[in-house]
Amino acid sequence: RTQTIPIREMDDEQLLELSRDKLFLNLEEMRAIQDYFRASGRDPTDCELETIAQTWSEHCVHKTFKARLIVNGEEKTPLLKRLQQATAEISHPLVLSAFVDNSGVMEFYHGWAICGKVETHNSPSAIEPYGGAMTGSGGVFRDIMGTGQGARVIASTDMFCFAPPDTPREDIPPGCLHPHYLLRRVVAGVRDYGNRMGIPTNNGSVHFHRDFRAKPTVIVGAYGILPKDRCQKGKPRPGDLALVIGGRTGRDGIHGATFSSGEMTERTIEVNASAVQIGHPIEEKRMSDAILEAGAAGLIRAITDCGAGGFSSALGEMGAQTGVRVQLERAPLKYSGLKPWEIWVSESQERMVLAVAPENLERILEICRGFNVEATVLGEFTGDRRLVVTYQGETVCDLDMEFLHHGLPPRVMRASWQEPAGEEPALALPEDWATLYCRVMGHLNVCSKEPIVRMYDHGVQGSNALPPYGGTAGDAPNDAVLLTPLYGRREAVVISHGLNPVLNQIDPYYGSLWAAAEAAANAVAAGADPRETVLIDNFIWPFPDEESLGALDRAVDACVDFARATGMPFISGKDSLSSTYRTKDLVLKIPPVLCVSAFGRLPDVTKTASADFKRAGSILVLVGKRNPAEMGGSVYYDLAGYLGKNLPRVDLGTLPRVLAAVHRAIAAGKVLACHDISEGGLAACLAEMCFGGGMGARIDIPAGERPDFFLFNETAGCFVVELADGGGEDGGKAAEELFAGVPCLPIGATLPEQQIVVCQEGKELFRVDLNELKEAWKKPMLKVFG
Amino acid sequence: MKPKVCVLRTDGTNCDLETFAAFEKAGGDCRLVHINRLRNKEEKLADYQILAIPGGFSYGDDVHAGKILAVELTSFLQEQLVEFLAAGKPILGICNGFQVLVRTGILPDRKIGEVSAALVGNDSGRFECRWVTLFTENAPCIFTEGLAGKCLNLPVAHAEGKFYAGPETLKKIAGQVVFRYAGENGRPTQDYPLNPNGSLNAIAGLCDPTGLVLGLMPHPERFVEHTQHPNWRRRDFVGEPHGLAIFRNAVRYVKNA
Repeated sequence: RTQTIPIREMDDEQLLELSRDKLFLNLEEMRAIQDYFRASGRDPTDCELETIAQTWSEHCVHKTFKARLIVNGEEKTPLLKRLQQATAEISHPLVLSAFVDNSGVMEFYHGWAICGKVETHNSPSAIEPYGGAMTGSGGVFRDIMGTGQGARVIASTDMFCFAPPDTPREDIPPGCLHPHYLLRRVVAGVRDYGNRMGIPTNNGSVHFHRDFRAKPTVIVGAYGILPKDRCQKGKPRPGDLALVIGGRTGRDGIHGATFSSGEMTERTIEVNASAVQIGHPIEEKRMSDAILEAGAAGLIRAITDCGAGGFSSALGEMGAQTGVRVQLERAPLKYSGLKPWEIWVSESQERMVLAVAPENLERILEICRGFNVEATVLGEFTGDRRLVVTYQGETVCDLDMEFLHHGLPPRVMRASWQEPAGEEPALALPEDWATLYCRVMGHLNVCSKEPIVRMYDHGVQGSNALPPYGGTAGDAPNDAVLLTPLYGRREAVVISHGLNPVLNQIDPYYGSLWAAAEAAANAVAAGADPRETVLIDNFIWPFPDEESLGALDRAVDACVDFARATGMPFISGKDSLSSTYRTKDLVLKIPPVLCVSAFGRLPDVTKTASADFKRAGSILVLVGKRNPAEMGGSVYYDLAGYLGKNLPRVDLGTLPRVLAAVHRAIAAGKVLACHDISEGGLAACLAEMCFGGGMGARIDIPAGERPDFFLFNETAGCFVVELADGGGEDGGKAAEELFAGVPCLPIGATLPEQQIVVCQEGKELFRVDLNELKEAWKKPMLKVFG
Repeated sequence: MKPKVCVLRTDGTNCDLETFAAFEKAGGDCRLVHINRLRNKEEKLADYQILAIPGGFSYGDDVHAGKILAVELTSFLQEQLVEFLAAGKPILGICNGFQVLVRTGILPDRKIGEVSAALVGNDSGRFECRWVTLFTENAPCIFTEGLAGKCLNLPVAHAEGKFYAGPETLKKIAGQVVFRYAGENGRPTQDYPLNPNGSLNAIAGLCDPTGLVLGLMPHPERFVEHTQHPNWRRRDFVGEPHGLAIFRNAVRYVKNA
């Protein structure tokens, strides 16, 4: 049963031993706990220690993002504050709630609001990929369901980073799973949760890099719609009942919050197997139906999901301002034999906690019964600002909310950043262009991911207005997803994202700018209005030692600079700072990842664009500023065996004008097709547009440009646009008028032939068959998913 | 009077809202009805003119796709169903709803409890979400009046959609086949991915001998607006989105009955 831990007597070594593998707190934090109980004149219960460890876990409280930060000897504003300040300064008129609720909320149309949240589930996915990915999806859906007084989930997104599927077995560190297995199982997990719950999964990407072999990055996002008048986070009042609904509590998912805050070691997979939960999408679906009905009837005062930290986190946070008294023996269990602290911190899935006024209890119970959803009153909100948990009459936890939520010793963290030494290779011009082009298309970070997408139901809910893959053969990728969530209406939601871990290894500032620019450009390529688009950040970083923290500091600066320059605020975000693998003889830092997600609203879905070429003979223009020599981190370099140093530096002075101009052109109906440039550069972008149109293209590389750089430069925020009018002589003029004031270059035209023809100074450099390119582009994932 | 449509839902139903929207657009007066309400007698099937069983994963598709809901319908609601059928009212089962109708025996033979066909795992061994072309046969189906000989574009999204029946049954139901997976030329095909699951005789949809009950794996409710088509920007649509006629026909049939 409940044990008392004699913490008051412990020396430092004993404190650390107590923390190891279980609490994941550092010595200073352990001492703060010791001090609290010395002052209280008693020792803590196991339940109390678990509550504190969970509440203070990096996963839940984001210590690093809130820490006082000394960068290269100078104090800078804490990371989270920087992001929040930028959002406050932008003061976007459509933002209804930022950083305070389970997701960020912006205004939609006709009295509706839309919300978005993106989460990581790296640690569980590393040791049990199917369960980890499933519960990642389930958890982020509940974040949406628990926004305001309850939202309906309308979309799911997934972004993964793995080591290449053909990584040799012996290269995988001890205790880690092979990427071929991880990739297949993670995809299966996302598939089975989203499909069964009826959430369209329609935006995502997969990135490969050798250094993810110790731990994958698994990012899952969700978006929702809710009535604007019920979109603010609710607050429980003293006397309100704490109602838990949904699944039962079991021993699955013990220590999820704390373990995922630790580094990965060769022991993680054995010691922390129970930290992974089991997903049950049907339970979550019926719970969602019940919540929507209860919300519509005005019966929900406040709602939050039971995610990391279980009841401890949900009730501890919900009751932070009031206090809460919980009778733990009331919690419905999957099976008997759980210790009270296990019930308290279990992260069993598909549970949510609601604050309900006593007079509404009967009605809400009846709704839950109607949907076969179990609902149990676990306790009530009080006014004493204490977190009191009893189990069969015995007090197992009695903590001061003030200490619990504000007793964590503030961290002062040191960061330093030095430009890595990288070198720029001197590459000769390629000889066999066609083969090179095919190799670029077949690179893991360029190749088609269609076999994955086909396993996700992206059309459920009947809202899709721009699918992940379209075009004549249904196999050409689009840049973003467009949804029309209000049946029979044209108002649309746009969702996109961007990330490029490789660039962060060269310079996290420009790598992060790239990610944000890519997210915005993807949305705009589909027709989004940059003035009505907002952002979500996800930092997946190695354990914050001085060097990694220095890199993180630069990444946050990039986000802030991007937000200020474009006026797109970050309204939700999450960090996961445990991407380090450590054993006695091996330390592996997983490449830092910043994933930026973008979502926004559009008044008319018919004024948008897809990426597939529409007709032969159209003029093609390249819109956006790029310096083709900035080839660092490109697929082209990678194929030659180099990383390089001179990476793409997105120009924040130009980018906002480019985004605005492309949006205007699409909204005015002047654009037949639009695709943004990313991995694989202009060449990959063009090929994909050709695949979609079932037609070829001719490209004229300007005199003086290095043709390989011109074709394969990957600067984000640049677009290839197929124009509706102005073929032939007038082409250049039409483009100039349309894109006045922004960098714009006519680069060629679409062709009826199934070929891409590349010329320079009137001479043909090479030509390549679309079939060859397409085969190379499809091969890698067909090999994995067959 | 708008015909009243019962859009049935239960644990794991997830295409209910778009099915609702499609019937509303077609002129129906829809209610989302949880099966618990029918079992508790808070609602009666007899109060409705059309029954729609939407797609999803009813009860997680545990045991077999659609099996548990089929058992629930035939065990607890058999009388109401028999009465509904006897009254000559239309029933539409989409995707999981089709699987349910086959598992109850209502399709293909309109005989509750006599299961003579199945929708089994796709030949590809996985969930497939893609658009397909359907050739509409000249079947006595009230949902496809005026569509015979035409090709429809609709999406499929399922893991268990391969129509399977013994040779005799296949022969017997030949005249009840409503939709077949086809190439763009309209010719039925066994080629993947045009036939996305390997269905025997390319069967994608089927009616009962009276033509009042239709079950199909593709999702007509996902193509009742032009912008739902993946390539709506490429084509100039004349006429309606391809899924809408199925709902309109049901509503019209009830109005004229």
